[in-house]
Amino acid sequence: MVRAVLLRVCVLAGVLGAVSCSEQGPTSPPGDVDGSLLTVELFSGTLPLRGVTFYSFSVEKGGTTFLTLLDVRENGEPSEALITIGLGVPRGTSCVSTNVLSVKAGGTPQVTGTTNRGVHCAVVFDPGNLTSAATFALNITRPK
Amino acid sequence: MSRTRVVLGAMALAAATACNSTTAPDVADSHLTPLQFLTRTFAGALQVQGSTFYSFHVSQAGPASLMLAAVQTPGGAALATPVGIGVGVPKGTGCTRATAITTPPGLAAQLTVTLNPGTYCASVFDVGTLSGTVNFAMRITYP
Repeated sequence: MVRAVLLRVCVLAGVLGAVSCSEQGPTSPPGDVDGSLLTVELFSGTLPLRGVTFYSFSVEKGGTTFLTLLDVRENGEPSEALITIGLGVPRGTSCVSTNVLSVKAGGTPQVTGTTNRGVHCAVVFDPGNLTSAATFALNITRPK
Repeated sequence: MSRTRVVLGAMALAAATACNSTTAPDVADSHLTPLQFLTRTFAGALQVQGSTFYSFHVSQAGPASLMLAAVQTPGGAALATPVGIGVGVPKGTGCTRATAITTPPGLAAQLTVTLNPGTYCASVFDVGTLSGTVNFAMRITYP
């Protein structure tokens, strides 16, 4: 729990301040990011076995969006399972994503994509690596 | 002097003739683009106090309509139970409705709104009238 909170604080502070973090502390910048143009949303929930869930957000001005899978827990314990996260657009009853990556929970942005003005979504799904339903926390750092 | 007047008069007549031209415009000159509509069927289960939504992308400004065609028991028996339908924008894990009504199912559009290009969602939700899970089918038509 403390680790998760530390990672969240690190990533939030890191991206907004153009300095990213690891568990050991600030390390490298994620790029030339103007923090004043960004906002952060935390998408958290429960991911069923082989399940999928998504979160929609609106971007007023185009720019780069960063996804960071901060925490994954199975039965309350930190999980090393690879979970797929991605950026896309809401269509029908799901999030159609063309920019996906299977990652472990960590403290630095794992998926980066260009988001133009409009509605976008961040998707989280289990490609078959979980052994039980898992809780997760995904940080969405996006243009305002 | 008179020759000059004749020349000026001829020029004025030519200009007037050109300005009064009534030649019909070519079809290619028309800026009227007929709207093309897409239709999607959104069907699923609606739980007591629940809501569900379907996202779609409008490419041209124009009217979008929702027709709640059917509400049924899980066994397939038709119901006249009114439920909520609405149009909004996907936000977070749901659909933030901007317009909504409560309506029983029927075979005419119950809700029509004018939308600009962008991504929207059509929502179906229980307004407190359900006593158990029902199945529904809704037609979404948009430009």
